[in-house]
Amino acid sequence: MAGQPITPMLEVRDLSKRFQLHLLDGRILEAFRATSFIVSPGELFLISGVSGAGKTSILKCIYRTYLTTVGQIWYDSLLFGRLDMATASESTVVKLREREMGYCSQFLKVLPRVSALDVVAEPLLRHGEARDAAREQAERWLRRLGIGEWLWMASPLTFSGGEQQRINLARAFIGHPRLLLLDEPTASLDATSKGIVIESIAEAKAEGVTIITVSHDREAIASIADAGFSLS
Amino acid sequence: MRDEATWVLRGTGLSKYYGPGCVYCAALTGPDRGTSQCPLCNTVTACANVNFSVDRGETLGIVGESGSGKSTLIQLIHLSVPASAGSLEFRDPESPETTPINLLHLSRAANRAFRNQRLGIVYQRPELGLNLQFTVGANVAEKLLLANWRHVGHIRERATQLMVETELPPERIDDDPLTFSGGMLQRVQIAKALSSNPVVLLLDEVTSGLDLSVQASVLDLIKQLQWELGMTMLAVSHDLGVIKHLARRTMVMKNGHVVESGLTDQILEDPQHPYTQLLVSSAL
Repeated sequence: MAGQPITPMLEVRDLSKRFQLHLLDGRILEAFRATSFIVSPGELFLISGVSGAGKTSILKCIYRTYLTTVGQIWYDSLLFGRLDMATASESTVVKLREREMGYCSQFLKVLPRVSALDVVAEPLLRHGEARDAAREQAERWLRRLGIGEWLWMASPLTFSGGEQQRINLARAFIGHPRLLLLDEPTASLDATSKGIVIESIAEAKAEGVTIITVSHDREAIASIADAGFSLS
Repeated sequence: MRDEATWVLRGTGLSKYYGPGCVYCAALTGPDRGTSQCPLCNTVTACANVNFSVDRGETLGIVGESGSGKSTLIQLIHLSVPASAGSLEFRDPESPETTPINLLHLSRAANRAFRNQRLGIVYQRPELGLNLQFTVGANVAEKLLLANWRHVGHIRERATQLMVETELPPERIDDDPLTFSGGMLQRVQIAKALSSNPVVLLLDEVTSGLDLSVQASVLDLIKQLQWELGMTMLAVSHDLGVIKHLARRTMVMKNGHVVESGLTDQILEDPQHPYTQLLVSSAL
């Protein structure tokens, strides 16, 4: 099919995000401005830059956790075709999050007293998967990401920062997203855990998942990234 | 959008006023005025022009401080309080091609039948949802009888099954509810609400009276049951933490009005309205 242009998986055009802080006399805070980039299907796209540059805000705009102030985010979805995430209906975004898009935050926000196994299995249970089958897959991911079996029945809220990070990643990977957004996936990890995580990201990419990751630890991910830019 | 045809429940312009009303009510009440009560005619605007829709298997969160109108809204949806204006449409998820019915136009008998067979509700205070003079089994049986179950053996079997599903000891089916803890009583309410396989489950501050350790297990139970049964839910809470765990979309109410609605994570992380920013920044 040489010569045929590939439809981008994601096309961000002139994206800007400003916050209006009503509790601080309506002060305006600018997270980032006029940012444009294109991510092709199956690509691992790295957005790097110093803390506070607005990297996470870009990811949150794509996932619609943040409302876009100016610009467009064209996503080539399986469910609804090409659409602008900045203006898509809430119902559309909910469905895309359930079936196509995964987001892995730097922080773990889960119900207390729910075991690590069930926390990881949750995305599958939500899709109507049987409990035993979901737990079996969760076990596979926990093992893959180096979480010891003795921790599986404990609440991840009692885990170390690095372990929580890996639980977050397991939750993101288990849903088999088509577009995966990773926020600082290697932050707070030791060298061994970092290696495991990088390997898992590379495997997901090899399976065809399109991944956008933000990281201030450029060295760790640059080796497996296909494209990207640095936000200043 | 092609996905807009999946709603189960849709409210349009839902309003509830307590009092005679006057031409100045709308101008003198609401979030900008900081009151729901008209200073001229004393009419309370408990709910003003509320619009929402909930999809099959979805949970819509409703947050706001005391007196914001969120519990009134739940009562309107539960058809236990008549609305002053607006429409409340229901579309059976099992036959979505059928014409939606306006629940506010049902006859008294049809209203009661709909409430008993299609809706379930769990209140903050167990005494509102349960008859504390009856045994636990009789409380569940009461809802089944109202939903036209007649065979005693089947009723008892269903009540026992619901106790197992809601993680209650089934051997205590004939016990007095007053011998149960607060967390267990909420489970009895959930068992009762689920007994007739409701399409829509309403949760009114369902974990507010419980200690923290029990809150998490009740929330987890509700989530598990929703995944298994595919119910549509509306959850009212003043606790943003509860809404964060239960609801994908959330409406924020103040003085009877919806001031903001959106995806729950957007409401919590990028609130637009000054009141929502205050609410989120005040959360512990």
